[in-house]
Amino acid sequence: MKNKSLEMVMLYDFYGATLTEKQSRFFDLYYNEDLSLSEIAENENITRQGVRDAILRAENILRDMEAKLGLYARYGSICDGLEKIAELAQEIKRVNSEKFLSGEIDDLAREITSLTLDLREGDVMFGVGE
Amino acid sequence: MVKIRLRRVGAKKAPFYRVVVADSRYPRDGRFIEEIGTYNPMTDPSEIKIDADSAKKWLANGAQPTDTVRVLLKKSGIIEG
Repeated sequence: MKNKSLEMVMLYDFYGATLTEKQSRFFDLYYNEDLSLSEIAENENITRQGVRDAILRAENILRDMEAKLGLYARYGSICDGLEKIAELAQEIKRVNSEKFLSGEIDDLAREITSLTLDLREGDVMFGVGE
Repeated sequence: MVKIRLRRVGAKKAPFYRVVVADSRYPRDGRFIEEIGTYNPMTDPSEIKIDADSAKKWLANGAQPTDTVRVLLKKSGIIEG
């Protein structure tokens, strides 16, 4: 898959709700189900050009939303930050176990680790309309 | 026609795909003939796991890979670039 496709499916996950029902359906079939423009056209009984136009419009809308709101970019930096925080909490535990042997520090580091895990798994930020 | 295509599974904001062999006539209802691999675009580099024997068998029987699947097959050395 091209990098553009990954970017597009991510933008769709954030802003898909801003598309019209038709744009959203075609986009989903094209990017998530890997159908060709011709296959979508055939299934939907419209021209290939019509499908292509709808998907291009959808791509532009999604890019435009990202330019205005930047949720995908923020999502990326928050995920990176959470990963770093989790690593640092592990490091605190390690240093503590070698030097300080404090049960309290160990508990706090454990709590940080579990909070970062919850945030990473629990979808930190929501896209528009979800 | 029998196609080899990707089908997205997995959570929002964490795209993950199955590589499936499916009839192009019923693409949407989830039916497929066989799953021959997976593709994770979120890792760096992306992780491609495709059963080479199954893929070659289906290709030899005339199954058509989509453009994206063709790229994955090339990357994993199953078909020639």
